[in-house]
Amino acid sequence: MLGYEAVKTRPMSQDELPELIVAAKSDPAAFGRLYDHYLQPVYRYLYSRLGDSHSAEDVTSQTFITAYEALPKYREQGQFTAWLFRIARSKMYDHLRRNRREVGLEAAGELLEREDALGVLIRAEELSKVRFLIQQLNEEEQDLIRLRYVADLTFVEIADLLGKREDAIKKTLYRLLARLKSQME
Amino acid sequence: MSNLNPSPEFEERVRKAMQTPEANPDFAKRLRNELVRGPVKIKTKYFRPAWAVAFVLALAVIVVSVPGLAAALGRVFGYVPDVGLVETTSGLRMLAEPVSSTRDGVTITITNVLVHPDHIELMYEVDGVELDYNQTPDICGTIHPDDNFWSDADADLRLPDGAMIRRDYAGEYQYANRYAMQPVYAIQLPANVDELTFVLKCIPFTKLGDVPENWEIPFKLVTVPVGEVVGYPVIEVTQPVATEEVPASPLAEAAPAPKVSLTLERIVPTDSNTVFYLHFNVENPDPSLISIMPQGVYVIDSQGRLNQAIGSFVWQPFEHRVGSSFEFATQFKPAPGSFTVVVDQVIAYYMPLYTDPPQMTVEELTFAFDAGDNPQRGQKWDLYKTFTVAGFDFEVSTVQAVTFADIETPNFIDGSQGYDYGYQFTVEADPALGLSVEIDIQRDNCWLYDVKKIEPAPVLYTQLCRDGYPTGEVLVTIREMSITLKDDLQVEWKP
Repeated sequence: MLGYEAVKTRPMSQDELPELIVAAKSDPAAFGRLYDHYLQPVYRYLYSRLGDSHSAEDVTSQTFITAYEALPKYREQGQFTAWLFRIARSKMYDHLRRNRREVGLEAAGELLEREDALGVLIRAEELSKVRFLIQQLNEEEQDLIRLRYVADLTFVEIADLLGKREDAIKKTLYRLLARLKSQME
Repeated sequence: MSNLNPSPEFEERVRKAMQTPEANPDFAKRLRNELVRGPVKIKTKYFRPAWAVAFVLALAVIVVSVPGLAAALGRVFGYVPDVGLVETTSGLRMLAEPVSSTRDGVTITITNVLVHPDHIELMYEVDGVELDYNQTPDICGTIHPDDNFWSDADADLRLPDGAMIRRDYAGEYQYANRYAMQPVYAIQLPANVDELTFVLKCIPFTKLGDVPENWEIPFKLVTVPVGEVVGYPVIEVTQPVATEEVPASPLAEAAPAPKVSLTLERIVPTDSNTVFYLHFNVENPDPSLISIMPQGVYVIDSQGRLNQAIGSFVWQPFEHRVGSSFEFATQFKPAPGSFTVVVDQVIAYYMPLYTDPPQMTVEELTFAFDAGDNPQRGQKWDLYKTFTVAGFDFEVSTVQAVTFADIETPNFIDGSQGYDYGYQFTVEADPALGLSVEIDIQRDNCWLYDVKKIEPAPVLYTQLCRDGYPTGEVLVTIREMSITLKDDLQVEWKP
């Protein structure tokens, strides 16, 4: 990935997570490990919606500071990812409301162009078309795609976040992709 | 469903199309350091829309919540105006004396510097400039889309060896004709460094070329002996205080109003006013209650004078701050002796969609109406959609097509910004509740909003959109509801 070498998202097993969450309630260092694990997915998700690094950094900061302060009240039920992303989405919508501006997927396009110059195999026109079609989706559908393909959330995590059933999320997303694919053809 | 399964290749194509950069490592490290050491008081970020500044300044009562980490007992705190509570820890250093520099009628004064073990807080004030909040390229500090976190408007610190320190956070504030900034630097300043130089390329929010630029102001630091208070002494209120709970009201029988009581935690008499810290206690709160905010706070001193209290407001509705502390300052110095703090109405905010776990589903808080193909200004639809949040009933009775001109007030200092067409919802509830709501039209291009209370009822909630009126079936979601607890809370303090 561009621009990110020094601090990487740390891999973490699902078994490790509950213990770490409990520890993070009273131990800032443990929260630091949670941060290491979640920073990039949260940042990418926010960047893809907000469209610039300044806003993404601002809202990412707010997200993690809020999570830090609210963590003592969080009850671990295996939904930490959903809980964190719920905060991120709330902060993001708050930011958008306060700044009242719209951002599309231009940021993704910029990155794509740079990667194309490096010789990425998939043709730029195709990806541009996919991106254009995604832009035509409604916000809820775009959000679903962001959560799955930008933030890399699992179906279970997305379902927890959106308060829906996992199979419903999967079905919705797959129908969406099928529609995109048919529009591509 | 199997026939819908996308191929891995197509999923990869979508992933590529959505690819975004990852977080800058400097930012990532900075934020991590901030979190791991326990978040310090995070100031509002440096650049914000002018309308937001105006909105904040327009609030009658503004509040700052105090980080819970700082509330532990047994610590030595002092109070520094505009900085807040300062804990004297080992190795704390501070500005030896304020220093100023004046050029062409413009004066920059470094008023406070606090060197903590892992960060530096600095405050400087600017006199004699006119501020311009337009974000145009000729204004110092304008952020361009390609810029990074910093700009020429950020004050740097130069160490004696020439090393430059960039700020990590920056707050701003403004009063009278004075303008001030509070950059924070995440650095472990070497113990032998007691002289620094403040370096500022241009004064934030001034027009480039109009006022002097490239400022350099040296200043000195001194060590604070452990246990010595920095700033004004803080009185920890340990004596039992008379806390009056909300008296029973007709509202309490009709609906489960939260039972709120008040505690006075700290008092700081200063030369010009008295600063105090309040804590709201909520008994058996509804699970969807996320915040309690005072509408107005004042002090009645020993001579019976009423003294309005003011603070600064950080609107953090998603931080589950029920029960957190708030900082207030009286407008003038109260008479010596006892005083009574009165909280004039409290607003309880409910967000059932955002609590953990959510108390309601989006579907339960969403309704639809058919706006047709060509909605016209003034066109009205009957809705009569009823909702119950935290036991309180309200009804969205009608919706009307409106334009920005219908809600325009001087508060919209940026105008409509293209959000010209939308819908105004009439929300009916028991007038005794003082109920308000926040409503979202589920369209990506609808943001600008306005809330108007017609006393005693109803509430008119307007949301405006870009690119004309949303047409066809319009989905609308209730995001937030608040009620006003109209009884006063008060607590008396006796020295």
